[in-house]
Amino acid sequence: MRYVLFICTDPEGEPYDAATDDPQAWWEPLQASGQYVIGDRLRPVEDATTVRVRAGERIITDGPFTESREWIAGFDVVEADDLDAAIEIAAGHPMARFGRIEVRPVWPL
Amino acid sequence: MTAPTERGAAAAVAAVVADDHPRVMAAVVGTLGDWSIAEDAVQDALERALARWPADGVPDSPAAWITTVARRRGIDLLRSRAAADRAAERLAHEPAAEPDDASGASGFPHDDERLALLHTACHPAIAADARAALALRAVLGVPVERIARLFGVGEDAMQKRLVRARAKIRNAGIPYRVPGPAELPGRSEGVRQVLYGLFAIGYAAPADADARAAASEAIRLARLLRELTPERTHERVEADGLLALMLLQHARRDARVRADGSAVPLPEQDRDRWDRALAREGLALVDAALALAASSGLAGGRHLVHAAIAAEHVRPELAARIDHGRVVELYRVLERLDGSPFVVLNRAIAQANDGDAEGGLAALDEVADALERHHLLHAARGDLLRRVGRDAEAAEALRRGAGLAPTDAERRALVEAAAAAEAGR
Repeated sequence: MRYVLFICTDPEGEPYDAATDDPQAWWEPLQASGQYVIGDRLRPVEDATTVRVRAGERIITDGPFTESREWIAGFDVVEADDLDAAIEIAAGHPMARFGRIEVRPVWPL
Repeated sequence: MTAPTERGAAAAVAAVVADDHPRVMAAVVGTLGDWSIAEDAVQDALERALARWPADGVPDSPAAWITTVARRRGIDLLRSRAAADRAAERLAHEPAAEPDDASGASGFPHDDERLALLHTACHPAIAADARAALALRAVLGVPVERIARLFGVGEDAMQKRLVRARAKIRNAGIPYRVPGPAELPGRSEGVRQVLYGLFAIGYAAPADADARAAASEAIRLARLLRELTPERTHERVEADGLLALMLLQHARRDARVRADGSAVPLPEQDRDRWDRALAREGLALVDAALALAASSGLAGGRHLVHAAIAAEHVRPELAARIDHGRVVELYRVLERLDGSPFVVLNRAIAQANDGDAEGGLAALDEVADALERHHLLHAARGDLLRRVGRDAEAAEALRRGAGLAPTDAERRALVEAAAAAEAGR
């Protein structure tokens, strides 16, 4: 199954530790095993733009679609056999400790 | 084949539900790989048995017949459902999983598969309020209407909860297997907590017949969990502890409650109303598990320690008095395993029972902030203050507790205790 991991910030997360929180160490084995599909960091919410079309009119606003102390800082798309395998992958991501990760199965059309 | 009769057929179907449901369900989920279709298929197979056995006779192995029919029905359901591509693909690669002999007893899953069923039903990714219900429905085959009553919700609401949980299993890809060694301790602890949570519904409301039935169902699941957990493992010691804890508490169910629904404190309980058979079974389990844990180096966890504490309270049914010093000691062990402030609160009461009320009051101070809004803190403080003769402060604490009590019965009891403290009675 394919899962999207939304890498989120969390004000209540543990402190960041540059020595152990190395995304490269998380990413490389997934890349090697072919489970890694795609992913990236995202620029902060200050750089977000929200687009809506209402009654045919485009409404463009600065910022994210909700005001929140937590936001999505990145995403990774992985292939995993099942939810437990996806949880295992997510738990190994450094941001699971100093942020939080939302695991969502994709819903193909 | 047994000669056909309608009543014999109905009894045989009921016996499969009562005795073999976990095995049947595990076998069918194992083949189909789809939880909700498996549940529907087993239900269909039971209905088909009710329709066919009165005319055809009851097969020699009713559970195997149900399993085979349910698997076939499930495969039909899978084929007819376009969204089931994934499971159908899995089936295509496992042709051997479908038995071709409807009367054979083969094809039953190993213990592991029933254990997997319990772990899947209690998976932490399933909504907390659905896990126990799903275990009752899928593992034990308890009807939805009855599960709804156990939880004090409407049948429609419970049906929705179950539908949602099954959808999550399918859509999120929650696996159907016993977790691997790395995940097992945490996941098994989760299963035990779900089962104890179900039991606690009955323990919290001993006067309510439906709630008490929840405790009985929890005991059935705990027995199954224990039976399926490999011996001489930490998980088994804890499963022993969980079952023992339930049995020891359930043994006192009739003595714990007055006709008006209020609780009877342990020293005032009529021990003749304890269920001695259950108590003895619980004691034997605790003692065996403690002995095994001590001799083999297998660590017991919080359920075993809780059971050991409950055992010390039940044991004097046979002896003269509770060994309160031992109870204090066990609560201290439990504090290291379980940081809950309620453990400290219970230790404080045990200290007072052991003759050290001042020490108990000091222990209550440790958790005063954490439990400030909980009536049990103030009830315990009032009780301990009375033991050291500080009646005015005791009355104040008991009134405070009464103001926070969640049920009328508890509120009344605390108001009366406050009045007694005030009058110095």
